[in-house]
Amino acid sequence: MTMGLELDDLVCPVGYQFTGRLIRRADADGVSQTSKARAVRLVLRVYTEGRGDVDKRDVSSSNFDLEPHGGLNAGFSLAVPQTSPISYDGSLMRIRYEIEARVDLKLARDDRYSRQVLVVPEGGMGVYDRPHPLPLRPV
Amino acid sequence: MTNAPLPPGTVLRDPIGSLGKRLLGFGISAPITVVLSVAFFGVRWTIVLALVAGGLLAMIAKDSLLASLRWNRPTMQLSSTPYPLGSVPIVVYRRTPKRVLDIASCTVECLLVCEERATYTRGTDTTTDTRRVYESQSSGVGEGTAEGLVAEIELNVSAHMGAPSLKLPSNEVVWFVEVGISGPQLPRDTHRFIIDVAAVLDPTYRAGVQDS
Repeated sequence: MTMGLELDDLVCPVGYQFTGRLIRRADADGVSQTSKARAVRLVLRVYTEGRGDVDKRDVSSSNFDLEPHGGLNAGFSLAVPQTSPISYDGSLMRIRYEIEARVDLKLARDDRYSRQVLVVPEGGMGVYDRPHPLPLRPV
Repeated sequence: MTNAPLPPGTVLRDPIGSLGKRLLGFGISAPITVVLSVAFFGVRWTIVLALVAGGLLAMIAKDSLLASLRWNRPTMQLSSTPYPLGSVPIVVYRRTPKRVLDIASCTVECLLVCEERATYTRGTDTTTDTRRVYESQSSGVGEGTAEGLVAEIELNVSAHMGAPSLKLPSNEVVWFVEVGISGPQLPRDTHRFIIDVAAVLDPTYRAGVQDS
């Protein structure tokens, strides 16, 4: 695995942001040989599962240019707007969030790496360890 | 309808749907149905069918029709900001009669509902499934005032069932309040009011969780 996505926390309330580090190991020396990887696009995505058709959209994103050797070690932050839905386990629908890192490879299919994350209501840090709703006994 | 200023931070909400819209729909669909019925069954059977359908409609819409003759449409006074999860807000239901009326104390029944709506497409058909994931019954005492019938009702916005209000193209979460009145000489119809629930955990609820 040449790509690494280190998150400071897997849980984030609406109105705040996911922060962490994006790490990619160099796969060329950058002098005699340059890497096929050119850039990384990092996306926070919300999507639905369940009975209804899938609703999917990118909530926030940022782009990182790679060094000629293909390496990267950079901090990132992806905002979760106040109006975003929260992670939810419902009866007809589930709402999920993922952070996806997509590596743009020259003349090749893009490399993808993703991690599931949890978006909770404002004031829900330390209360939620799973998608809404809260269990009847407080966690 | 009252002209008194609303308390700051509140809005007045009208119920969803109306008798006028239903009558308009009926006015458009009835002539088409009659023409088709005459073509298929003849005039005599069409008259019989129309009488039966009219009787059934009158039975179903009786309460709404009678209420609309004597009472104005109700309103609900809500917070201007969405309600947090786990909160217990108080809303004010108001309804004014069209003529001066002596209103006795009565009970205002209220059902708070959270409903999921999922829309899916199979071939050329689009279907919407709905499911109530939370219901909470509450009631308030309605009293006759200079502004008509007024009742304060306590709602219980659960943090354990349902989700904050949500509207995506194919998936939706809707919160609404269904209100009906019971008492002598009072309308028996019910009305629905949409309420907004925010993705915020109520501070008092949060404190309760952290104490336990």
